[in-house]
Amino acid sequence: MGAQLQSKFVAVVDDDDSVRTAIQGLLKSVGLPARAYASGEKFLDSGHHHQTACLIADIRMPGMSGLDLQSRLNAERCPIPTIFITAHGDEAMRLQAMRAGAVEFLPKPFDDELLIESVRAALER
Amino acid sequence: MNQPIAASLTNARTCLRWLDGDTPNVEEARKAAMRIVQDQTRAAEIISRIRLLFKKDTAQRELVDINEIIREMIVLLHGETTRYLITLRTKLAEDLPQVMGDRVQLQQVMMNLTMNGIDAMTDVDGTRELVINLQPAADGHHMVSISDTGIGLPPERADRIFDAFYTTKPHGTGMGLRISRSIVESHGGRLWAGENTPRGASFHFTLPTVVAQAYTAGS
Repeated sequence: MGAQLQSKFVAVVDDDDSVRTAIQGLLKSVGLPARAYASGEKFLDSGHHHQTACLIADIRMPGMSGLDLQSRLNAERCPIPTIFITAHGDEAMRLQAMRAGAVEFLPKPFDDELLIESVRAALER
Repeated sequence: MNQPIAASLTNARTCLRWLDGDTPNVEEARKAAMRIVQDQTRAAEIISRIRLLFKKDTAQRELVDINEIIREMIVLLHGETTRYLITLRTKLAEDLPQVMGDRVQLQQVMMNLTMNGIDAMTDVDGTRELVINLQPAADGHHMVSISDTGIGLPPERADRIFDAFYTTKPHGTGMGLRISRSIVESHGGRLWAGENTPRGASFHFTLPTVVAQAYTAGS
C-alpha cells in the first residue's frame, strides 16, 4: 500500500446496520479499515467523499439509491471506484452501474473473497 | 429478513479470517462472533413479529361505536358506489351502547360484506341498491344488515357461501365470509344470510354490546 492511501479510505453505504458492520468487520480483518454511512445523503453530507478511495454501496435504499449516489458523485466530478452489492440486482441495473463506471456489481449474499479482491482492484486504479 | 442472515455469513467468514494465520486475533474473532449473535437476534425478532401478524388471538379489544364504523365505511365506498351506479341507503340507529371489540376486525367484516354486495350488483340491469341498517336487537345486542339487489344466493345450500374457498369470483380467495363469520362469532355474535326481495341477498350479523355483556356477567 502506498502513502497515498493513508489519507484515503474505503466507504460503505448501506441502510442496513447488520450489513454495514459486517462489511466493516470484514475489511478490517484484511487491513482495510472502512467508514460506514447509513445513506447516500449522509455520505455526501459528511464531505468525506473527497477522501474516499473506494465506495461499497447498496443499490436499493430509502431515499437516495446507490445508482443515484453514483450519478451525484460523477456530476460533482468526484468519481469514486464503486462496488455495488445488492439483493435486488438485475441485468439492466448491472449494465447501468457498469456503464456509469462501477468496478463490480455483486449480488447479496456476496462472496467475501470476491469483495476483497474487488476492493483491492478498485484501490489499484 | 435476508439482510441480518446474509450479514451473519460475512461475519462468520471474518471470524474465521481472524482465527486463521500465524497469530490468531481472538479479540477481533470474538467481536465478529458477537455481531453474528446480534444479527441472529434481529432475525429472530423479525420472525416473531411476522408470526404475530398471523396469530389468531391477537385481537385488540376496545370500546367501539358500530355507527361510526359504518359511517367510515360509507366514505370509503363512495368511489365504488359511484363507479357502479349503486344507490346507497342507510338507516342507522343513534345513541346505541358500544361494543367491546376489535375495531380493525369489525371494519374488515363491514368491508367484506359491503364489497360482496357491490360485486353482486355490478352486472345487474335494473335498480342497484345497497342498504345498510343498524338497529338494536334483543338482549342488548346490535344487528347490522347489509342488503343488495344483485344476483342473490346460490339456489342449493345457501349456507355453503360461508365455507372456506367458496367463491364465485374468478380471482376470489373464498375466505372473506369464512373470516367474517369467525370474527363475528369471536365477538359473541352471529352472521347469517337470507334472500332479499324482489331479488338479491341480505347479510345480517349481531354483536353483543357492553349492556349484553353486563347481562351475562350478572347471570
